[in-house]
Amino acid sequence: MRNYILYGFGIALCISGIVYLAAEYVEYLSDWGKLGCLILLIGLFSFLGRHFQELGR
Amino acid sequence: MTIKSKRNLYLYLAIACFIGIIVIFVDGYLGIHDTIYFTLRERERTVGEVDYSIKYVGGDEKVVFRYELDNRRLLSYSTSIQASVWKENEKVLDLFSQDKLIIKPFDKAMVEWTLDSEELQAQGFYAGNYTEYTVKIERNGVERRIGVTYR
Repeated sequence: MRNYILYGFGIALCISGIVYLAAEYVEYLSDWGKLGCLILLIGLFSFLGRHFQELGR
Repeated sequence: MTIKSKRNLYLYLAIACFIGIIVIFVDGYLGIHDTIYFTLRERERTVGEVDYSIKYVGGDEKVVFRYELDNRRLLSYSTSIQASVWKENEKVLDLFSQDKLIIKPFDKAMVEWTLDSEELQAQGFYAGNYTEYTVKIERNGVERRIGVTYR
C-alpha cells in the first residue's frame, strides 16, 4: 500500500512538473520541439500504463 | 524476458520519455532570445508575432521602442545592433546603432530608441493617410521587422 502511495506521489510530481514547464516555457519551443514533447508525453503515459498493468498481474 | 524485467523496461522507457521532455525544454530555453516592446499613447505592448504591425500612429506621435536581449548561454554574447526605418526596400531613417554590445552569461541587456513622426517628415517622408513603413532591427545575422502604419 505504501508503495502505491509513493507511486501516486511520484506521478503527481511528474505531471505537475511538466505542466509547470509547459506553462512557463512553451513559448521558447519550436514547432518540432512541441511535436517531440507531445510524442514523448504520449510515450510516457503509455509506458507508465503498461508498467502498472504488468504490476497488477 | 521475465515479467519483472519487462515491467522494469516499461518504467525505464517512461523515465526516458520524461528526461526527453526535460531536454527539449532546456534546449528551447537556452540560447539568445530577443523581445521587442513599444510604447504608443502611454501603453506598452510586446511585439510577439513574426509579422507584427503597429496601427495606427498619428502624424504627431512618437513610438518608443525597447529591445531586450536575453543571453541564456554559458558564454558571453557580443553583437552589434542597428534599427532603421524602411519604405519599399529603401532605407529612410537610421533610428539606433550600437557597434558592440556585450552581454554576460545568463544576463540581459536593453537598448531604447524613438521613432519620431516629425523626424520622418523632416526627411521628406509623409506620415499620415495610412502610409506604411517598416522598422528593421538587425543583430548578427538576425533581422526582426515591424510594420508601422500612420493615420
